[in-house]
Amino acid sequence: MTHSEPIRRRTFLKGSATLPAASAVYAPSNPPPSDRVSVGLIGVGVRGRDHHLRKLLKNPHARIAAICDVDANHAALAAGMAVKAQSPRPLLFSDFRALLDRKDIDAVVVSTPDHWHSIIAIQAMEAGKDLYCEKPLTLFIEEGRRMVQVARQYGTVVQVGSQQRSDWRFRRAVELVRANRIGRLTRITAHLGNPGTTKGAFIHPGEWEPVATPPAELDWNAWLGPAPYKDYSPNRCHFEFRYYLDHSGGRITDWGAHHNDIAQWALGMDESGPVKIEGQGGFNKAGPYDYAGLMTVRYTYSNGVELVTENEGGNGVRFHGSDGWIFATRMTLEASSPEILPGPVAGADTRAYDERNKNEEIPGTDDHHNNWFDCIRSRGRCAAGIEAGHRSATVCHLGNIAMRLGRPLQWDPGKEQFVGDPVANILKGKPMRAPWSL
Amino acid sequence: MSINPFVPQWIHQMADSDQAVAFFAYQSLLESVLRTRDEAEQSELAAALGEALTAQAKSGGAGSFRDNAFLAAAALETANPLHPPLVRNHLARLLGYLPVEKAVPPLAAALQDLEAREMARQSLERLPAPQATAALISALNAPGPVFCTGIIASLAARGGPQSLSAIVKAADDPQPEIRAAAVMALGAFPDPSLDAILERHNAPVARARLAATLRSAGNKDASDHIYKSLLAGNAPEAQKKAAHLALQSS
Repeated sequence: MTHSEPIRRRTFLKGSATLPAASAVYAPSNPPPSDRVSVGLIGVGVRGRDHHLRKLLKNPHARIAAICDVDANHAALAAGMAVKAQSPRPLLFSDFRALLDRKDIDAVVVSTPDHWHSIIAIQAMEAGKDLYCEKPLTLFIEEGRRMVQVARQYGTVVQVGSQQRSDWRFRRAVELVRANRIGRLTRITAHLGNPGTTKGAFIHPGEWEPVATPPAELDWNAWLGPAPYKDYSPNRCHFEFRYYLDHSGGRITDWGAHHNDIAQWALGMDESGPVKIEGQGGFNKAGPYDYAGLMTVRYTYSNGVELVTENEGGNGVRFHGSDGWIFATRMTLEASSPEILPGPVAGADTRAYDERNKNEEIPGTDDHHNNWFDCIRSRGRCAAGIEAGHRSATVCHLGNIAMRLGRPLQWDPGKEQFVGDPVANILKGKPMRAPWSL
Repeated sequence: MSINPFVPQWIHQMADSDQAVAFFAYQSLLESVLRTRDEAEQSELAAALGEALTAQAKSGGAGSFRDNAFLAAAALETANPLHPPLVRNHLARLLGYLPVEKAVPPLAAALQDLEAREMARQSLERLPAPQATAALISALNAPGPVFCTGIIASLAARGGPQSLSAIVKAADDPQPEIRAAAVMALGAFPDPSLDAILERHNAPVARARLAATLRSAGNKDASDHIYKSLLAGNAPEAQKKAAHLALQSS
């Protein structure tokens, strides 16, 4: 593009960093179809279909332009949902690179297994697309820094799928903690147990299955992508990828990318992290799942605050202060005394949310997507931006590494390196199966 | 201090037909490898795992072809690994967690093992010993372009002048996959002279990567030069936008 070219819609969407406040250029309701963000969905399994597609089809700011999945059944199911709700029908792809080549797609949602996130995200950003990437942002620490660099280089608007940042309970809890409503913050406990119960997380070792031929609709080699080659078995694929460390980080990244993320947010550590980590994990040695189903990880931050991530205590984030506590879940917001919760929070520095990107309420949709669309228009920073997503995922990976190594670790969050532990530093990275690389 | 006495048993058990037994053996070895901090012990473990990775079954293959001199000679020349491919892949992977020089030679040898070379390549990528770079370079002409693209990615990840020199050569490889991988990898090296190669290959994404790498390395002038060239030329809109942003922030 040169500056003498006429301004086209996509150019407007992508080049508006110097525009005035969002409200001056952005009509908040029922935008005409030509102003909708043209979205490509990459990965339309359960999360991609039942969360993203379902909500985006109701969102007046989005148009589903393309769907991509290596499982033709998933793609067909998603396409079926889309054609009932909108016209024209979306384009279908099995190779994300072909989707990214489309110049008529403004933004992509990456909802694949974790081992694919960084490759697709980086190529999407380099193709000029804005990005919504599911949590955890990364499978290993080093790729996160690269993703952040590319996002900054291309001015990409990135929303990470840690959607609790757009949930009023967690946001309110963070602001109250920052406003010292519970006195001096001493400890945060991230409870990663099952929602709705005080018992531990669902710990299932999986069941061994004989090696099978992949179904005809699934391109198994493409599903594996950069992950080490494994013969196909149904319980490695799709939803269950999260229980294998070649594809995910297990429970601590699956739920830690939510609750550890909220802890990082409350601590004001979105660009930093803990300095010391100790972890005990119960790795299942009978297989086939190899993640740590039982865990207690203790993180110490430079300000002395401790974050404890564990299975017990239900599901939510508890903030402990010198004068009380606050417990936030997806259903409730509680405190040690009733006067802690109500009332305005004073001081701009306590606000957890950039008011320029304030959500527009759209019934039937959700705030996290809307925040992304708001930011695509304003070129602002999303509630769960890429640096925050990288740092929160790093906290989870640090926990996994500490549990794996079974020894206390020192972490330098500035250099993003372990101090004095070469094996731990090896585990920051994970080489990719050829031909894939970052 | 010496290594866990169960190590030899676990190595063999990784081939067990009961998947749970094989899994347990691998996980036990993994725990031993990761939790060993003593360098001497790490070297001892590397020696044990490396020996198993490269172990050959006792010959006997040639005898079964005594009526055919050609096949008998071929059998003598053909590798006959003691352990099955799955086990050799596990062993190659485990060696990649041992940051000692002793881990390099068996992995270098395994680069010749068609069934374990990909994992050996990945492990060599992560080992700090400089000998790993030389081993990877020596495999750059191995058969199979996909494997070679992996070697290029590993060399780019390791960095250094030896790696750079090998990748520059690969940028003119007759095989397009290798050429493309090499061109993209060059963006990771903070050397302004590489832009001429990338421009010749019409690689705007790699050029933008190089510009970012140079900027991170503190060479803003060289970075700006590439960005200005991207902005003035026929680069895609995304790379022009990146150039615009970078130059605006200058």
